[in-house]
Amino acid sequence: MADYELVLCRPDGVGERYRITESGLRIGRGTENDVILSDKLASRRHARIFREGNALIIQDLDSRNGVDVNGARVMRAEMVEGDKIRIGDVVFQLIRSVGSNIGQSVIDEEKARALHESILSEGGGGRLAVLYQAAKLLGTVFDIDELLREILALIFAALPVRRGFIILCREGEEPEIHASRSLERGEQGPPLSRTLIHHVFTQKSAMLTTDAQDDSRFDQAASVFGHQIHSAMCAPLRGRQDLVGAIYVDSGTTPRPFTNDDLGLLTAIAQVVGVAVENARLYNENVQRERLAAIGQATAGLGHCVKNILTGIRGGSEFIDMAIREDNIKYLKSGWPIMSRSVDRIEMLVMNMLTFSRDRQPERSVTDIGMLIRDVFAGLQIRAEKVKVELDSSGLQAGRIDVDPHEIFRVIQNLTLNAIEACERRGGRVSATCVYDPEGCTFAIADTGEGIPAHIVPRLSQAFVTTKGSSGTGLGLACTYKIIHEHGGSVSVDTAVGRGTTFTIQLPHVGTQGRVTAQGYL
Amino acid sequence: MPAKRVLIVDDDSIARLFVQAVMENAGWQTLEGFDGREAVELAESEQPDLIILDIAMPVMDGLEAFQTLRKTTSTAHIPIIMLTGINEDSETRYTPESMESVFGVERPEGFVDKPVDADFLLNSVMGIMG
Repeated sequence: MADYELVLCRPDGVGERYRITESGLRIGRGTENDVILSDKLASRRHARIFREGNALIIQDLDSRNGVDVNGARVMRAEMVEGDKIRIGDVVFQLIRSVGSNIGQSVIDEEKARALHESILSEGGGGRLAVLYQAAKLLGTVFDIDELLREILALIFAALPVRRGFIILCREGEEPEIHASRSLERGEQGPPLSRTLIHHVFTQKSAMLTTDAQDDSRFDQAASVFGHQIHSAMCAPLRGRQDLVGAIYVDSGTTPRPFTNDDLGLLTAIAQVVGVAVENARLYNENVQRERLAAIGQATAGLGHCVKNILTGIRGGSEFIDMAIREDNIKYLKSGWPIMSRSVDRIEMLVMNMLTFSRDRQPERSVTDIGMLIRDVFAGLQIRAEKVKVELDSSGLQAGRIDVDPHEIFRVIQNLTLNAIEACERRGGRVSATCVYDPEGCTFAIADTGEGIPAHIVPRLSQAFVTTKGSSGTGLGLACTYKIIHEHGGSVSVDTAVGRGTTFTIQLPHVGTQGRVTAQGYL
Repeated sequence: MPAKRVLIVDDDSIARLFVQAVMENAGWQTLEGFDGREAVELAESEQPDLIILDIAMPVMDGLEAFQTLRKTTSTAHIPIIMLTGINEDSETRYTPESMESVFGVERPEGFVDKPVDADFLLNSVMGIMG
């Protein structure tokens, strides 16, 4: 029968070789063995290799952490040339001896290194690949709990984990489980090791235990070990400043131990996740702060606007009261324009608030923009005449485009009202143009009014920015930008103080919305 | 005797409409201004008998307009009623007392708190114009 030998594959290349003699090979930590291992995952008497007829057999001698042949846990198995044997963190390969020249190797240094690497990372497709996947998750999953669940799933795929928990903590608060996963039977499986977690939280370093009884770091009465958990690891989630939590995994009730390499991978994942958790928290805090500030600003802006309108309604109603009391229509003529203006304004405010507060997809139908402009102009004709503003709709080309007619109507209404108000003091002209080309429709509302101060222009798309003092809500243009944005279009403005303003809207045909320019959003 | 003329300056059209209605019903002729700059221009060219001036306005606010009107010889004699309300910067309410410290000796002839109460406004006008 051919001679075989066991070659130790080390991270740095080929290690010792052990010839398998007639009496076989004994492997373990004890000094009585032929192959003496210093790996702490190895048992004193771990395994035996022996010949049986023509076969070469490996047998687990009831070791604590088991024997893997080609990635499969075995108690007893027949081996053939090329088999990879793993005991703890130690990897061997079975090779055939070349004649009597035992010194000649059939595996070279490079192969041994690769073998060591591939065996230790089996099931995960390589540690770098796992880390790469973890980093990729950070870029694609933004909800923190969802991210933690995905990370846990990744850990399960990469490591022989039966149960896993990701625990997050904040200063002054009890740590809380944010993601959990278990392959153990029953709802919960054994409780997780509070001892281990406590250790990680206090020491702020990663921790691996392969067996409680051997592990002097723990009190033997400690929680986990009463629950037959054979092996557990815990790695801290560290942000740039503080500990933000920990990842805990264990092998459940199966006797599969974790290795230092497993801990290394868990720690590396934990480092990436720790920074992500901290970033997410900072981001959420900022969003929260900005949201509160925006709510404050919105409430103040709306409150102010509504108060002005209410004043108008109250004032108008006083005159109407007088008209009724004194049966004199003269007072009605004073009161009614005030009431009417107030109602217009509150209607506009409410419509804009609704547009501004909800995200919606345009309900498109075939629309003639020119017709919409004519409708808006017709509705505002009397108001424009009162303040000596001429409405000119002679530059409208006929055409069709798929847009939300109600929303675009509101855009035109907002722009036209602004244009009329800009001319209100000295009279003037508001003119509309509309042209179609293969890309879509471009329309513009131009006025000869006061113009917009340069410092306001970059902020036009923001809500509650107004040039109209107490009579504006600052919502009209914000809604205009929002609606056009939802249509995939762009808004541009050309303005000069004292000369007038032109708003130009470009609406693309559906399916050609890629061409939205950044400039359009100011 | 021809009707007296009042210049009403407020950027909010509803508020302006209301004051205008109150004054017209009391027999006044009204002129409108939209901001402080127009208040100064119209006061010089139209020489109204009274100016009702809002404080918070764009371009030139009521405080600056008041000071300019008082410094300008042709308008220094025109009585002014300031419409006061919330001071938006400090979010506190202007009061005649706080206004005194703002205006010093040259204080306006009247203060009317916003929202404007028609009777209070007319009483103030009576008090000033006799």
